[in-house]
Amino acid sequence: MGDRIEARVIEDVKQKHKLIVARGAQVTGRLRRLDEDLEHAGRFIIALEFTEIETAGRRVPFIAQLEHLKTASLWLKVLRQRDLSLPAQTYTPDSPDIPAAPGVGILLAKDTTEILPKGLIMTWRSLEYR
Amino acid sequence: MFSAIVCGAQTPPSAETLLLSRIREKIASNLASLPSYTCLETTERAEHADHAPSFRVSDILQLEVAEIGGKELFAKPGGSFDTAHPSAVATTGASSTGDFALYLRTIFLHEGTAFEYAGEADSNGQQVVKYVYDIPPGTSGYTIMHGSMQARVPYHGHFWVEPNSLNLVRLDAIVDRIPPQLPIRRVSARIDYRRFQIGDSSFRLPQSSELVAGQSSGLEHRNRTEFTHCRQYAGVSTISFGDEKEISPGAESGLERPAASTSL
Repeated sequence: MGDRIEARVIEDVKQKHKLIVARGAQVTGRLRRLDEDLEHAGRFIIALEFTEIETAGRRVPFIAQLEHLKTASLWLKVLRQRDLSLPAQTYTPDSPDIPAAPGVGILLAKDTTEILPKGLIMTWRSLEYR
Repeated sequence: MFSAIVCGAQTPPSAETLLLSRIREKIASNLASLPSYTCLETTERAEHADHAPSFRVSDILQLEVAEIGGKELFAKPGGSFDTAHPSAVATTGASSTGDFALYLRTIFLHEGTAFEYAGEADSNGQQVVKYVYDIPPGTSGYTIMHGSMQARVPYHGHFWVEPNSLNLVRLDAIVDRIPPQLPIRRVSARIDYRRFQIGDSSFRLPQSSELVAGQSSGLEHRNRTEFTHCRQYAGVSTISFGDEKEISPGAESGLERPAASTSL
């Protein structure tokens, strides 16, 4: 736990046609959690925490929420968290016992031999830093 | 001429006492080498009215918290660290301090804490050892606040440690001896610690916490906090403290060190 993780941005990120983050930018973070799911034997809860993105020579906080996963693995899925951009009462998360936090993606896995399988693509939605 | 020296028979310290000593040394060393640092704390605040089936989330609060010079300071994200209590930013609902570092400093670094070994336990499939601790009224700096009233109260709890690495895994704190003038029955806090990289070194820091505070009316407040984006702090801030009315008759006065607190 706490091991460093890295990812690369694979598409330009734009806001109102203005480039915010260029393709190739590096995102870094840490493995936050790897626990057996006490409610489902043989399943594991994985939390990935991305904290910083390096873009245009600057390091800025990575404040975003995980939306989707694209992977060949059949045993890895996103546990939808409370939406941090909406009023708290309007949303029912998949994992209500795990509070949401910016930059933290919660995954459900059946196999921990390959937590981040090759070719894993994650889609994150940026959040207001409030 | 002969002289005799008679030494009293001494019982060697138990393995649990020696282990406790090593745990305290490790925590003290971790705190001593920890640079000033800051994390983003995201708190999901919920309330549970008497007879309601479950907690209802009322809001999500984001603050930056820093430990600077042994003090906990708070700021709105991107703002300056100019307040020692989150209630200055979150004016309604329950808020607390201490999760970040103050519990550790009070429990493990100051004399007066009583410890007792409580056996082995399992934490997520990992074997850990558990100890009970007690902070008596005279040495506790923990403050409970409600409106304009506040009281300094004793507390007790447990902590869980990996016996081989001596890494702290979890700590809880229970406040259940509260002056009757305050409409609060009980406060409990639980903090989970994990490894974070700060600067070039790694440290055990709080990763998540949960605070539950029960009022005399039956209303319960629950704050679940996740600490993320932890990094070394490289800034300067100045704080000032105002005078407060204190109602606790048995509390020790003149405790200068920062300590945990809960505000409702």
